[in-house]
Amino acid sequence: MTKSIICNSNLGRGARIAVIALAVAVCVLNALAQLSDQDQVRQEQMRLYAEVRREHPVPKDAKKLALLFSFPQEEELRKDAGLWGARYMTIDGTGDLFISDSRAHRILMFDSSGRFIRSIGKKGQAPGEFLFPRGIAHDGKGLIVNDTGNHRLQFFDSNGGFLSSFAVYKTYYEIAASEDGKIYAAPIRTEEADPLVDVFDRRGKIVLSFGTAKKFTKWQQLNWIRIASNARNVFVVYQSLPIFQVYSKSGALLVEANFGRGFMKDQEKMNISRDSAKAASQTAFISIVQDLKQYRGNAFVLVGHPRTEILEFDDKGRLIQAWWAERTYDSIVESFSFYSGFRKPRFYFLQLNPENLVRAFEEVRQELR
Amino acid sequence: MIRRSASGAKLEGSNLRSYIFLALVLLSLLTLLLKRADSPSDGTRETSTSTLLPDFSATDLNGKTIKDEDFSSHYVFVEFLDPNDDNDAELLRAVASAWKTHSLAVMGIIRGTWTPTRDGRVNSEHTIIIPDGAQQLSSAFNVPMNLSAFLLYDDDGKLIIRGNTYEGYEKRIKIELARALIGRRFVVADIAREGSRLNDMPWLGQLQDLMNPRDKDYYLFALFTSLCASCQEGAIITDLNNIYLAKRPYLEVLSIVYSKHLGVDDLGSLREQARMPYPVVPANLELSEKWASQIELYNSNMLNNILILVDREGWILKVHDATCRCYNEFMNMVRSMEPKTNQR
Repeated sequence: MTKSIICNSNLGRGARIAVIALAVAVCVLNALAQLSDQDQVRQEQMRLYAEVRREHPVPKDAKKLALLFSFPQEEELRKDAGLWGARYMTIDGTGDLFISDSRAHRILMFDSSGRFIRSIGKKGQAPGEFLFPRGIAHDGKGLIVNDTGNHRLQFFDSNGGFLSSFAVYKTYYEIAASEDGKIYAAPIRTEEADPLVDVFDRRGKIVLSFGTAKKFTKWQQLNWIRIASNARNVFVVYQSLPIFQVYSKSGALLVEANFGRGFMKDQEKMNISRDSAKAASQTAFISIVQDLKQYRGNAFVLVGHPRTEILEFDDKGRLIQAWWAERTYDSIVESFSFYSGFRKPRFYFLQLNPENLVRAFEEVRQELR
Repeated sequence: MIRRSASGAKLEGSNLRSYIFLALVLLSLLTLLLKRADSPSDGTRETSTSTLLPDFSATDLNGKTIKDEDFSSHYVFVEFLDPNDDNDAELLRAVASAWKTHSLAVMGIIRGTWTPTRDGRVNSEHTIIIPDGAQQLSSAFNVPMNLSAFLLYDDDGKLIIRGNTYEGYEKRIKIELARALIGRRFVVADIAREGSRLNDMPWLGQLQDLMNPRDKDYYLFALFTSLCASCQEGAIITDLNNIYLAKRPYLEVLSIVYSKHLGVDDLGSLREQARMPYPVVPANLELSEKWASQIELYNSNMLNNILILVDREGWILKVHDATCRCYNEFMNMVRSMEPKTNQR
């Protein structure tokens, strides 16, 4: 209409044509401007993200992490050590990192300085081969890989040599291992009453199942968990709720703590409100927690928004300390590992977006925020 | 004329309305066109593709000009691929190698920059490689620039299937190519035919052995290629467990797994994890060979979850397979079976 009003004036024939042409040109320019909508959306996302960060500053006692380096670098890429869809990682006692690349059907091994060591396995069904490997764990003696597509767990020595495997009936994503030889796995639950965690011995026998899912309408999605275990306890966090649990090795729930604060609380409320939503657009839940690991007897929880944060909890559910690192609005950190073999503790963040790579961070002295 | 001169430079009402109308039409048209052009090219929406092999002309690795008319009366498999991605490269290799003796043209259109030393592994004498072709051809095939995708056209140039290369060769491409190029379509009757007897099909001899001593009226066999709780077989196994636990004295439940990757230990472990109270045995040589011959053309999903209901004399009463959409009918029949008391 705005353009038509421009046309509504007392002009000669030529001028009328000129006005129409002008109106059309304005329409064209206007419409062409829509092409940059994606840029505008991006800018809007960045603005909102900056706003969220302003509203939710870093907790006072959190330690800042600074980027040291990232990998694989060009040299590694030339050795075909690129990451294609890596979402899980683990670390051994010497600082060697093992990354499960589901999309490339292999495990990549890097040393603590990001140098490529070797690739383990390839796509296939034979022993030592993988089909969409996901969760990965190191139990101090060797590597355990959840070979999801082949429905089995495979065992390797620390150099990637195949040792054994056993078949699994349920579908598991996340696995954890402890030095007592037990493997903890969180299944895709097919019944509402199914337990949260299955415990396997090394021969594939389920020796224990435990954990009661939270009561929700969408009982599967809101009960996705991540697990970690040490010699005494099993730690559980819910991905869409800021809930941390400590179980005994016999499966008794010892501690439950809600560690939500600030932005996490908002996300939790949104997820719970979506539990009763029927619209398809509101059935997706926000991942509050990205990963959980155990180091030095404590649980390390990776939180993705609005910054990359690591929260360390003891087995009483108390927050011991926190670290944080800057992230861009579009970065997605899926997993992490912690290594204390250097002078300063080092974190390795496995980033899926915008590039699939590992970024190594180190604690820095930081007073001002 | 009089009206125009009388009005001078004035726009009269009817003319004005026409101009407004024209401007609005143009505006709507442009908005519509630009909306289409603005659709995201990141593969998050369903790919919109042309349904016919488009007119195109491109230069292959050897400098030869490739045109759509070169493929007349050929089936054509087109893949937009990142050759450095193992899944993409493997798909192209698998199609080219499996159907190299058939009337199938395989064309790989390279996304990104072609690097002969790195990307040479996707090349073969049965494949036409269009290096650096995605920029030029993605709009002709209507495939988003940054998407690894495949398209399969029939010998009339009509699109049969399309998809993301991520789904791989086994899921649909293998089956569609078997149907298109050699006229093979999976029918469960090739394995077990309703109305026949087990001894008409030598590969089902294992089933007859498992029926001994034939002290039941009916035998329900479940043939699996895998055992997975969250897959279709998980639901079937739950139902079979319930049927078994209902302890119908006239019905026996037995399960056979044909997989070359599951050993006896694996089966024992799976049986325990799935809480299957009835026997779970690996397929014998004959059944495994039959399965291997079928898997050449079809995929293991199609050969999975085959249920066969047999009576004591070995007559096959009912067969279910993953493609028949008759699961409820099959299970209702099983649940409604009654003992053949008059025959005892």
